[in-house]
Amino acid sequence: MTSLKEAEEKGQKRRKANFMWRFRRNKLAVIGLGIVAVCIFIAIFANFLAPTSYDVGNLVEAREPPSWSHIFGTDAVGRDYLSRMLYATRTSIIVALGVQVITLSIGISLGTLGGYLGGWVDQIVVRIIEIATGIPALLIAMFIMGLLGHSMWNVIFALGISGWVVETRITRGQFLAFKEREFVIAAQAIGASRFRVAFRHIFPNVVPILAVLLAFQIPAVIFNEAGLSFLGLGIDEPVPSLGKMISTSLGYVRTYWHMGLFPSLMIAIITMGFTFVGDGLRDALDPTMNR
Amino acid sequence: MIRYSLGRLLGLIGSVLIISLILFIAVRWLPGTPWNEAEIPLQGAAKENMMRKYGLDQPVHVQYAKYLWNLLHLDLGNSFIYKTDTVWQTIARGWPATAKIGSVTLLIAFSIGIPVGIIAALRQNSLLDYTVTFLATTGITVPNFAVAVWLVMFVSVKMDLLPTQGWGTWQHMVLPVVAYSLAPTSLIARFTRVSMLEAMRSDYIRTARAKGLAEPVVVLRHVFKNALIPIITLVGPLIPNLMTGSIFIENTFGIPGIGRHFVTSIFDRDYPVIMGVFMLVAVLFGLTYFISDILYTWADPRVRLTDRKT
Repeated sequence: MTSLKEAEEKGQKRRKANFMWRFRRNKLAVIGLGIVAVCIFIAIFANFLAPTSYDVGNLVEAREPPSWSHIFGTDAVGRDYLSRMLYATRTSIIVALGVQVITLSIGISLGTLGGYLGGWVDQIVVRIIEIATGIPALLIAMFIMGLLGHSMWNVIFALGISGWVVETRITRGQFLAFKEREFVIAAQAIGASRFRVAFRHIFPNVVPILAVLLAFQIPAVIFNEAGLSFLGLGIDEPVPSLGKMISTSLGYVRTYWHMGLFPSLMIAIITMGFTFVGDGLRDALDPTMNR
Repeated sequence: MIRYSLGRLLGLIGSVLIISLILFIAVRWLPGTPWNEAEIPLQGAAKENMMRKYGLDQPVHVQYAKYLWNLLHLDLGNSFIYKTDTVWQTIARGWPATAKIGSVTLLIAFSIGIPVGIIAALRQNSLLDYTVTFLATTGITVPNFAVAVWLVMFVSVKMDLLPTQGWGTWQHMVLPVVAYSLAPTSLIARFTRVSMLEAMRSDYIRTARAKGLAEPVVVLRHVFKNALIPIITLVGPLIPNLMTGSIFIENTFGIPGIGRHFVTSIFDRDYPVIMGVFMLVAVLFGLTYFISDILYTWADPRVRLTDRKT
């Protein structure tokens, strides 16, 4: 018995090492991971890193280009642009993670119900997916923002409640595929409960795909949050958001270049970082795909 | 096939009806009324009159029944805000600009994305391939409004080549189309590359080569036609997305398209316009999913459409 267990542990260790090796070999993925780490660091420690608070303005210094006292310049009411960008990064990351909690909870529950139980339950789940696909998620989110009013928590709720379709579809598809596999039938044969089969035997196999999905959904959510704020449907002043900073900058594009350039570069870097990690994860988990 | 299509269309009508019901109730839930009561407060009798005039005094289920009855006659009602306009006229006014931007973008996305994807796949792991993959990944990830800002900064302001905003001449279309087409072009290029690579590894391609077919025939007729199948699933939903317009692009470049109605109608509580534009999107999406499923059978005769499959 022990030897069997040892062998299994060894196999697991080797798979892990293989995965790490493949991920590390992918240079873009490592760069992406670095960017993600820096973003999360900024999100956690924004209040220590930022030279000033995000809501302190000095009208005398309004719209200054970058200088030694304000490395990224100042905005239209004289607030330090670097500080606002650091806090805006925090906003992006909080929203992105908060939304994932909602979308994954809905997606995993609905997808498991439909894919594992099948029958009429699945019929209902499929119907729900079909109806939810009828209107793009961003439009639903815009609608909910109109209903609820503007705040960060409402943005998280709106994007979460409108964005679970992919999670559900993938979880359901995975359960459908794994349901017929030998190890599942074996577990059922020795009398494991349906709950146990679903969560102890099948679900661990779904996790890697959900992890890859997560890495791609995070930049999508950051994009959507910035988009909502860009349209004036997102987070209210004085809380900074990169999307809002970009849309405000459009009014000054002829004179104050720094106001548009920095936040748009920042959001591009953040979304690219997460996407590179996603690409790397996917390639490392499934080397045959070679995408 | 015909039975399947009819079933799907019925299902589509069912989905759209459910969406319309959810929307209708949600729209009435929106706090506030279509009148600017913050600036012009309405007193009791005046407000009652207004409510009666627009049929808002009736219970919601009666309002919904009336809406459906009018919908059956393709009547979407009148805008509350632009009082002389029907919702159709509001849509018709924004549609040309959105459709123009959308179709040019779609054309560019296809005519650049597919060839680039094919070439990258044919020279897998070359420098060219890596460059294409990197650029495409970047193109997919960077938000289009960020690209739009960069284009305005460098092309319009710094180099003074094209107008920053507005609509009317072809010059006004260049920057929006470039900013808008970057993501779909990259997406199509990447997807084409991957599905080409997958198709190239299959046995029937080896067979095609073994029986001595010319390389271009193998690539175009055998590899590409099979690679098309996954591309269709991707491009299906892309089309209504592009045609209903990127709200961000229209907002950035001041294009009088339909995109702004999604935002302004919600702000204005213009119930009929909200319903109209959202229903239009729902119908467009449903139809494209349906059509892409039909195209599927053409590209891959092994796929049989049955009523049971979703």
